[in-house]
Amino acid sequence: MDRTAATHPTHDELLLARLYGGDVDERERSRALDQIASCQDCANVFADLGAIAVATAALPTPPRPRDFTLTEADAARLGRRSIGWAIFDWLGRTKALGGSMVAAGLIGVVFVGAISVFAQSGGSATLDTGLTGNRAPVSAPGYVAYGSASPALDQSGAGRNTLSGVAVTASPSSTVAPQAVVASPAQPHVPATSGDETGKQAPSTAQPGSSGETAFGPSNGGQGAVSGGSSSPATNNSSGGGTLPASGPDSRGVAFAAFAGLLILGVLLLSVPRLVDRRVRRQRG
Amino acid sequence: MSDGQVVTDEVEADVRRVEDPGQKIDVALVGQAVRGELEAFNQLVVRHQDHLFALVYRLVPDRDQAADAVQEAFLSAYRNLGSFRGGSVKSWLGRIAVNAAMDLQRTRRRRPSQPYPEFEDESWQPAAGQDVEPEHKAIAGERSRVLAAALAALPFDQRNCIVLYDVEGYDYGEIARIMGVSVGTVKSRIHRGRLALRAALAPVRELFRG
Repeated sequence: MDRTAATHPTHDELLLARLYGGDVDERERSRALDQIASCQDCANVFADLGAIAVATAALPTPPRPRDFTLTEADAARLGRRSIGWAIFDWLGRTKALGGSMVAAGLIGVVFVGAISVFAQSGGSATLDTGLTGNRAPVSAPGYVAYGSASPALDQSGAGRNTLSGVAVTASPSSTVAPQAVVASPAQPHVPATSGDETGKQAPSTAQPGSSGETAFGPSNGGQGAVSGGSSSPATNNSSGGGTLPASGPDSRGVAFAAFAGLLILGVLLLSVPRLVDRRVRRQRG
Repeated sequence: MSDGQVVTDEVEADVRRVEDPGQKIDVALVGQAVRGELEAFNQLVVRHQDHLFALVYRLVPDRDQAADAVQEAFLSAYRNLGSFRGGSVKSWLGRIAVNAAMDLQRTRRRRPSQPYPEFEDESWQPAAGQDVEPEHKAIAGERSRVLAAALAALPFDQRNCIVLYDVEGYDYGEIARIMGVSVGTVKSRIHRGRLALRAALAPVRELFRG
């Protein structure tokens, strides 16, 4: 029998607590009793658990500070609640629901806001082609919505070029524009043509780097799409971001409003219990 | 037949079933309160307010907050008299009070306060019998003070389970239902809570021995 403290640290005190709580099967009970019989420290633990439980049950309590009987006013107030108030009260007390709504609304608002900001900043980016001479800005945050390109693609007049089915309008210009500024990361390689390509349908057929033309961005056969020229209009609709979801400003606005509404509703649900409690306390005096 | 009539009939049937005189009175009072007699409900309050305050005070170690929780529990009980479906009124009120205390604890977790300030003031300690020696009285007071402080320092999940089991005498299953957790979780909280209490009281262990 080992009645020293040397081996006690290896003994299972939780087993002793479970034994005290009657939460052991026969095998565990036998092991715990062996432990108590063979180790003085385990015996002390078991005795202490019992003494503490007894003392806990005997803890005194201070006198009740007030009487808790209900007044007629309390009863009247509790009795005259309307169904609507009761539902509102119930909803108000579901703090978990309110918290979830606030969290979801906040995440949604931030996410949609971030998309909008990213889209706007993306749309105003410029890319220098490196050509010298006059600048011809191509303001094209998106292939469709902002597809009007004003480099001198065609000295003979307005030309309408199609980039993989997406219209890019070139405004008439007699000025040779050897340098183009493309104002969109989503369309970083709209082929700008030099003035000597008069009359050509430049972007869709132009080979980057040929005949003095400017090629920027990865060569993709001049199809003018970010992802290898095979972008569908749906993906290109996203202004300024070929990799963003296919949602326009309107749908983002709707989503933003929905999430903001969720957020506000959640805040209301969280604040209602406080207001109710305050009202109850005030009426109770 | 209206819902209120159904509840009243159920309660009256329960009165006939109940054997314990105290419980019989409770159930009868509930029946009268359901019919709108505030006086009957207030008799219930008088019968149980001391017990409920003692229970909640152990869960919420602050006298004022415990009083608020008890008041809230009685208001809630009055509002939900119709939900009483027989059985022990004391247990029913106890469950409502524990829920009110747990709501308060969740709030308190965000706004911690000094636990058990009243234990510094021993004026409310129960009067000892005349045969109790002053030395024993002092030891008992000190034991209560350190135990209450150790209990208050426990995580409230463990404290609730220990109080409901050791003080209130609920069984594991009942505590599990009240707290909305599994029976295994309740057992684990009680066992670990007791060991934590023992560890916290290690420096003053002699107060509890002999």
